[in-house]
Amino acid sequence: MPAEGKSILIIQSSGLREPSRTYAPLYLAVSAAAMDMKASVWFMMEGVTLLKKGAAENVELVSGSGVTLKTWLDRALKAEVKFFVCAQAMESENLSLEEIIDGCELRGAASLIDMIMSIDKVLYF
Amino acid sequence: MEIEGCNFPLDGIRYDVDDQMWVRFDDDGNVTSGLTDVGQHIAGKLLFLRPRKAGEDVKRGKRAAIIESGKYVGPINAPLSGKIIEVNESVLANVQLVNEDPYGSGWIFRIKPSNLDAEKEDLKEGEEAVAALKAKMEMESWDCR
Repeated sequence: MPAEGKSILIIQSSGLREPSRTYAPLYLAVSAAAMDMKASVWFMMEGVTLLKKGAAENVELVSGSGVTLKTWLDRALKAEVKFFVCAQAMESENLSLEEIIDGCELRGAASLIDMIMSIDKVLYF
Repeated sequence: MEIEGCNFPLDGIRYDVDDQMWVRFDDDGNVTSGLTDVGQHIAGKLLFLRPRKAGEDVKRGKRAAIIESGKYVGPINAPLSGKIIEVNESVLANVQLVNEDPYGSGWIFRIKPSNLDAEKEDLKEGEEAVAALKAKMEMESWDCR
């Protein structure tokens, strides 16, 4: 069944303390967008720390590659992947909207449940 | 022709400068196409290629394949509208042929054009291609070094 036109939600719950778990969700989101899917990433739990301004620039999986987590965040936003950020997790990590990168929408738990029930597929990380 | 360390053969090849695709018109009226040298260089060592299948219709500037590397994932856009008539099986088996020989054994697909008269002018050749490629590479700060 072709993926084109379908929707996918990727839930990212890992943060800066687990850099090796930060790339794949964004790689998949950009891939889905390139396949003409409606892709969204929901940052929750520690995942919201990836969005803190200035943080992603320092996460480089392959040393010396010049490709950082910021590269993938930028690519995802450019590919029109939607970023949703969990209000409760922001509170837990003492983060405000002003402290995270532009392009994120603040949402609550009920919004996530609504989205999960309406989206074609959900991936969890 | 070399621009910033990138190879751009001019003999019998036209370029879609925006999407960094090359096109060669074959004797049977179809075209062979692939990624330019700078295109493969920017993507880096390719890990996977997922093209549309032979028999599928493509539109110029729209996705005809997805390429994946360790540092990049994104679409390869069709340089011409038409039907994909053949996908390079050798590249499917060893995608790094695109890195090693982008204008030769690393060709990606062949297309039977459906709107050639209207779209051919968008593909640059000769000195016009050189000027457009130089401008694009300067604007994007691309090189192959």
